[in-house]
Amino acid sequence: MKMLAPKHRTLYTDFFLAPDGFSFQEAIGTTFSLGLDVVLELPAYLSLQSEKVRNDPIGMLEAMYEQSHSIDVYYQHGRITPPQENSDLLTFAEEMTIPVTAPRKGVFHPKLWVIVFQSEITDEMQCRLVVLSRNLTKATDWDISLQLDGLVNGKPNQDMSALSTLIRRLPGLAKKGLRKDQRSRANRISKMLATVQWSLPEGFKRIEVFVHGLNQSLWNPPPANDVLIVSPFCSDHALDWLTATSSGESTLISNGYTLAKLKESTLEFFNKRYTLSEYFDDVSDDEHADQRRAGSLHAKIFVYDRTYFHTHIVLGSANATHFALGDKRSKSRPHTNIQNVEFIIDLEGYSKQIGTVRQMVEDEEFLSYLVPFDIEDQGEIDKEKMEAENQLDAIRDQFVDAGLTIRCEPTEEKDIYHLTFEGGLPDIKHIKDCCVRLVTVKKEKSLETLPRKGDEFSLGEYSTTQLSQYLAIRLVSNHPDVSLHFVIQAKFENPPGDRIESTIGLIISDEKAFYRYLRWFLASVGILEQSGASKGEGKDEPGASWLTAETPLLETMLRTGAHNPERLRDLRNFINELRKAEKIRDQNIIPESFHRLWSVVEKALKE
Amino acid sequence: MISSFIRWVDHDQQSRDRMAELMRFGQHKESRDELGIGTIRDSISDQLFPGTSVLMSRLRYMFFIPWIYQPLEERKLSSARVAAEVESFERKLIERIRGSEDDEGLLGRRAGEALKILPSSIYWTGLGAWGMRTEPYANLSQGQYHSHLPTVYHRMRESTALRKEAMRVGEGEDAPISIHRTWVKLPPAPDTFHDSDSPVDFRVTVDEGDMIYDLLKTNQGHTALFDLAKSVSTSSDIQQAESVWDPLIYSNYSPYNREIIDHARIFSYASHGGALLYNYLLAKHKPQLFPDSVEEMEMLEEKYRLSLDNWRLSDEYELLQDWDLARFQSIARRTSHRVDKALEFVSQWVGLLRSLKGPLTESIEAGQLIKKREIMQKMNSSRFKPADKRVLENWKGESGTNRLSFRWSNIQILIRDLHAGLSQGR
Repeated sequence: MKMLAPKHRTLYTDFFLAPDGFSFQEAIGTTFSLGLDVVLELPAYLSLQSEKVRNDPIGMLEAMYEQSHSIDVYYQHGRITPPQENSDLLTFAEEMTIPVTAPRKGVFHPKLWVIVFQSEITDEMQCRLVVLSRNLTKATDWDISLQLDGLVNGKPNQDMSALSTLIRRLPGLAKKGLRKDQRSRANRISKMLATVQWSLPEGFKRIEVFVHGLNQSLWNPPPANDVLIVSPFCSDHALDWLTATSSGESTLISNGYTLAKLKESTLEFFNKRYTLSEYFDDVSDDEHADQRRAGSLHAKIFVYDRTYFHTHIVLGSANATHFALGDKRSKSRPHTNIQNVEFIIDLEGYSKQIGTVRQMVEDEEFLSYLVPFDIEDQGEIDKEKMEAENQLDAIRDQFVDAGLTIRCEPTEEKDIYHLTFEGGLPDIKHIKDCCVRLVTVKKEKSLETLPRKGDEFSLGEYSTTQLSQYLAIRLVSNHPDVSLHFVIQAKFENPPGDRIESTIGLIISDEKAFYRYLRWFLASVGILEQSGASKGEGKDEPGASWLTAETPLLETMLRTGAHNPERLRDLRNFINELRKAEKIRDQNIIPESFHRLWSVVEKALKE
Repeated sequence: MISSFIRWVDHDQQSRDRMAELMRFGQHKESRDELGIGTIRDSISDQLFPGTSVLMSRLRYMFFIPWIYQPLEERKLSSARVAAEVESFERKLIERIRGSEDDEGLLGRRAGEALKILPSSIYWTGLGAWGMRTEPYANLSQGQYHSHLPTVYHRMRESTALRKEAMRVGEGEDAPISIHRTWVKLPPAPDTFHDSDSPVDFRVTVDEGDMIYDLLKTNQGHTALFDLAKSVSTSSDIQQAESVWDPLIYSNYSPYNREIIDHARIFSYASHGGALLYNYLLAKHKPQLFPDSVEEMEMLEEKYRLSLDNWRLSDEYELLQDWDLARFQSIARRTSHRVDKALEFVSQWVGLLRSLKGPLTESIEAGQLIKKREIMQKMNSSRFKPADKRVLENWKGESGTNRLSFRWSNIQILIRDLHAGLSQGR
């Protein structure tokens, strides 16, 4: 077991870490579903690393908003998951997220990043392709990734022509008007991809990429001996087709509920069938151990031993379903047969270096996370529930198709706007309830029920900072356990120009907020200790302990200074920069009490 | 410099926490604590009734939560699974309790499964403070507890193995090794508790009542909470009492708690005057920005003028004159709540009240102190100096005018449930 060993792991944010001597320039991402707060993690992460923000902490939010203009994320329309909490800052994601739909009936499914890094000295550029099975959401499932780095050197290279085409075509799939720079970014990156010299991961000799669903050439399974299929969703015909070319042992790893739905003859074809173990029995100190155990299987990996020397690893967004791969029954596999847009990358390598299928599935560590599939463990499929879910999904699709618009009109009062919702509303009969709200307002303030079918209705009045094109919609079915909560990014007509500025201004609105912000910033850039984890106040949200800690700033500063004298220098520099920034902005931001606090710290630490 | 690889993906928890915290800066929070005295109130409440909160609505949740956790921990489910299963159990519990005869105090009665704050998070601190959750887990937050589960399982396995070994060498049931546990040994859940179709009710059994009684005695024996818990014979007085300091029940408290309660009473009285004046001032202020409201506001002005007159005529006004502020401050500082700024304001306010000549509504000084405090407390969302006029517009004429009660109504219910359990079969 070499290539897929569970210990080989990476953090999502590390994909955005620039190589030495380079800095982040721009990026295009694609995903099926996304979380607005997850999307915003990226500009926040990048801003916190920038020199500019370190010198002007008060400018963090401005920098983050600016940074959001260098990242475009194309996602399947209607598939924004509603954020846990309301927040005015969610509107910052508006510049980044672009809803798209697949040209055929299916969904837009690719999960990838193309990231451009610029040399800090020369005009050299590097390109990074990240191919994932994970969407841009808070999922903690088992997901796989491929990172591929390459130098942009102007020499034509057709390895990625399918990817280049996909990127070029993205703006055409968009369901909202794009900014000019977004169109040109897609164009620029698409062209650049044709001139990158990729460096393959160790042990690999060849890569080929495929985009399904956009009339490009399709991926075909290679003739092989042993085969391993890892896929959370499967269909009988697709599995048939995936294994038709192999003659050796075949192994299938999926989720229990998926396997339970397959035909017995399909299951019997596989020599081994596994699902992820829900139980774990080791207590390791590895910091990621818990993540590894959490969640269900979401990776999509097909491995083929082509000969005794060569192994193919196939990754990407495609599940082992006919929506993604097509259907063996139609011999020529006409394009129209594939409904989804999918991205697939096929890497061929030396078995000796990357391992064979057998080595992978017989590896002890790998096996310790799996249990043989047992149909007895699977619950009955609740047909009524499934029908109710399908019904709500269909209504979501109608919302997507409706092309909704939010119109924004000023009222007589300053900073208060009236919003109207326009567009052919879906006919939402036969369900219990449908509530709608802007993502910036609390759930409790949802408008109770949408008028069932209609062209226009009032969303009410909102203050400038709450204006948003994201509408959270909650559908409640008549089935007691079924509801669907999603966000639609509507077209936004006539928003006031200053709403982002207003939001930025409100953040450090008072003394308390200033201290909270200061603590957040200092901990985020690593100047202050991440304290409070062991305090156990019982008030903190799971996982957010060190940031929300109640420990006073003074105490934290003193402790940091005492433990870590070199940090004190950073802290002192920081305070100076803060004072300078305040002067440049000609704004009173630092409260008087903070200057007193700081002099106490300095005095105490000198002693 | 160039690196290409295939790896499994982990999310960056630190980056995620950072984002979650940043998002909170964009939330509009309505503070009901206009004059910023909530920290003192909480400090006193925590001393009198530790482990409780204003969200606690019934006692038996104290058992529901560990009953939900225990079997999941026995199955040694992963932290994420435990968190998910607990949440789903709690959400389903809502309908099951609704199906019983008595659903008063049901958390989620209106919100249903959309309930935002789940019982386990409301009762979590209390479960630790009362000793239901054992050391060393008593002080962990719920999130921390979940992430400790792998260690818990490890210790459980270890202690089970040791105990087996001791039994093997013939020490029998008396083996001095106990199985590692996170919850105290609880009365068993009703047979139907884990059957998702059966109703669940709030009735505390005699065993459960005894358990709570014993735990409070051991862990919180010196508090007013236990003083009330043990007063089973005066149970109906407790239900009738209008406040913590009601003479009906005053004799139930120990001298130590009486002192805290005496101070709490005067503090509650003094702040009530501040709150009434604040509302009076707003009624005068609002027509300046919203001229249409002038008639409505004049009526309110009159209402608060009358309330303030009555407030002044109360017997408690005399108590204010001799109030030992220094002693009050040292009592308020006993917990970890940060009370210094609030205490400073209370001293100024009380000093002013003591030297007051005419009616409070005519004192310019008093008006200024209240305004200054509110502006400092609420900054941009101050109703006197709002950054966004809606803040004042949304003021409907009443804000924080009830007296501080130190969670009294919640305590009454918890004690009622406890006593009902204790008196069964006696």
